[in-house]
Amino acid sequence: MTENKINDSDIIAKFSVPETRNFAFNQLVRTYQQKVYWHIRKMVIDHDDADDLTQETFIKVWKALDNFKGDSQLFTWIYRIATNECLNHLAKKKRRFFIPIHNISEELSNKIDDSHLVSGEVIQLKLQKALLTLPDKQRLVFNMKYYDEMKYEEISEITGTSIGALKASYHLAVKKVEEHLKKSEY
Amino acid sequence: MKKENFNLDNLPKENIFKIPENYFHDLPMQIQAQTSGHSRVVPIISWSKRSTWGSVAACIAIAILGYFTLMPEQSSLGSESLADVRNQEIINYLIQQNLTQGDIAEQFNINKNIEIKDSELIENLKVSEKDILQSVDLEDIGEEI
Repeated sequence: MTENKINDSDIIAKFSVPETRNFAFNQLVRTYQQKVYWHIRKMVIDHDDADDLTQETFIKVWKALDNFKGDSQLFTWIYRIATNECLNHLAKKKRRFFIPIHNISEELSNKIDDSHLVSGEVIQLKLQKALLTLPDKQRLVFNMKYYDEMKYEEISEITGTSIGALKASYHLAVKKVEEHLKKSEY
Repeated sequence: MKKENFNLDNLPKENIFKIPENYFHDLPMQIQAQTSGHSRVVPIISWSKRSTWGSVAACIAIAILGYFTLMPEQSSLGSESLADVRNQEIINYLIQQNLTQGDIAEQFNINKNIEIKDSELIENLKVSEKDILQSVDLEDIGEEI
């Protein structure tokens, strides 16, 4: 974490100088692209959507990095932008086609069945499908806690939700997923 | 048959999603290709103390010029249109405007009942005798005598 902090401050310092701005931004993208991409990909499932949203996230970072106050870690600030991009994308998708929520889950679930997009054991596929039955925000919390192993404090900073509410949300998500897997005759 | 409880902790964490080959190698270049199109706009007008005071001074100058150019026009218009009207008629009009006949009659009755003596008026003004003597023109007294 300390090493990251030094790198982050270096990136921000170099970004503020016009001559080193592009170099600094390139460093930033290379440092965070995988975390951002996988965070988005787990939410939207489809690679093309995840690719678009990742690029959009970094373009927003480019535009707003001058205004970054350093109140939070650079990483959580970028994560917050990516999270908003994901949630807006999913909300737009629902509005655009007037599709009920369960159909969106079904649509994403079908993508999991596509062998071009995913590979893994059956149980892992079932877990992903079980996750799609959760509300978007609850799925987001689950992903950050379970896969990214983030602290509740960090998740709270990103989502703007209290730690207590996050704990409750994660606990419920785990119960629902386990119940779903149990029903699907694991 | 009773199913066993499923425990997520017993499941290995695996990433099942695939990505195109060299995706993370190419992504920074794709992003930078887009950001180079977003050239940063440097604001042409920047805040400075001098320009702010200059703007304030210009606004005040315009307001003063406007006042002196517009006001004479308004007054000349008034005097021209009222040139043919006698002063007494204007005074009568101003006194009676917005008053109903009832108001005028009432006011007339009130004034009729009130008699105010000069001595009472001076008392109400609370002016000392010394002050009164100083303000009286001695030549006028001479004329009276």
